[in-house]
Amino acid sequence: MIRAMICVVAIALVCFVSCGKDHEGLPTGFDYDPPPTPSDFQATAGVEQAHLSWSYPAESLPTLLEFRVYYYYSIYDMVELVGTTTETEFTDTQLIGNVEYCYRVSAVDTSDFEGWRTAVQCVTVLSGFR
Amino acid sequence: MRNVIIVVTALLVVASTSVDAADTGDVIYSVLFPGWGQIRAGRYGRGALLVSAEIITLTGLMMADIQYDRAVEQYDRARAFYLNARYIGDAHYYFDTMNEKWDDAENLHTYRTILLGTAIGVWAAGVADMMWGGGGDGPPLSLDVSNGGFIVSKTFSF
Repeated sequence: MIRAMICVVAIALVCFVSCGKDHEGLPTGFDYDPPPTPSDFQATAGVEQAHLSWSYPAESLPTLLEFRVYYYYSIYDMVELVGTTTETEFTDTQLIGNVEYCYRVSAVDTSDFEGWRTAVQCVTVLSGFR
Repeated sequence: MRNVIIVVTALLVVASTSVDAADTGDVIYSVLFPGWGQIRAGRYGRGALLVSAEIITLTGLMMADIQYDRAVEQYDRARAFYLNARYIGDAHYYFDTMNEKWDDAENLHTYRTILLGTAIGVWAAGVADMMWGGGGDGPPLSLDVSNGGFIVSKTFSF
């Protein structure tokens, strides 16, 4: 009787140990190689539009898929995609005058992996009413 | 963890081979839960100590196990997000989260192993105490006659 109970306790212990979850395994290290961040990012105001420009290393252009242009909302610390382009400039149109717009740009490589976004550039759009 | 299992197995083997010499009635209760057999045998202090130690250890073990499972789930989730990241910022964030949860799981695994070993030790100590600890206690209640009165005393054995 006691031996049977001891066996039951032993089986319960072994089950407890063996039925637990295990780690899947830690990846060896950080192995992403992102495309470079666009540099010299500038935003200039226009009448109800904003003109954005930046530069990008020529040696990275063969692996470039596109640039992504974002609005940046500082109060939420969030971005919203405005559009994409393969050029190193972008014009955002149909904006509201006397309103400040903030932008960030990033590069995406041909494997659809997006690199770091640029620092924020803000611009106050000119009004069309004089 | 494997070492703990080996030690427990050795204790169980020793216990199961020498159990015939013991008072089987109380040993059964001590096998079921540490201290129960001692309490039934009238050794309340030792029984309460073993019961308390086992309850505290098992509670800690249960909590460590739940937190370990949670850390492993969070690690798996962060790992999946890291492997599927399409933005370098997300990849860095989930890589850091993944490492943090890995460390949490490692620590909790260590705590869980220690607590499991402690719980097994308390249980084995309770069983061993019932089999070899001796049970030569006096009656749990005694009545003494002194000057013009009675003294009823309750004996606690540790």
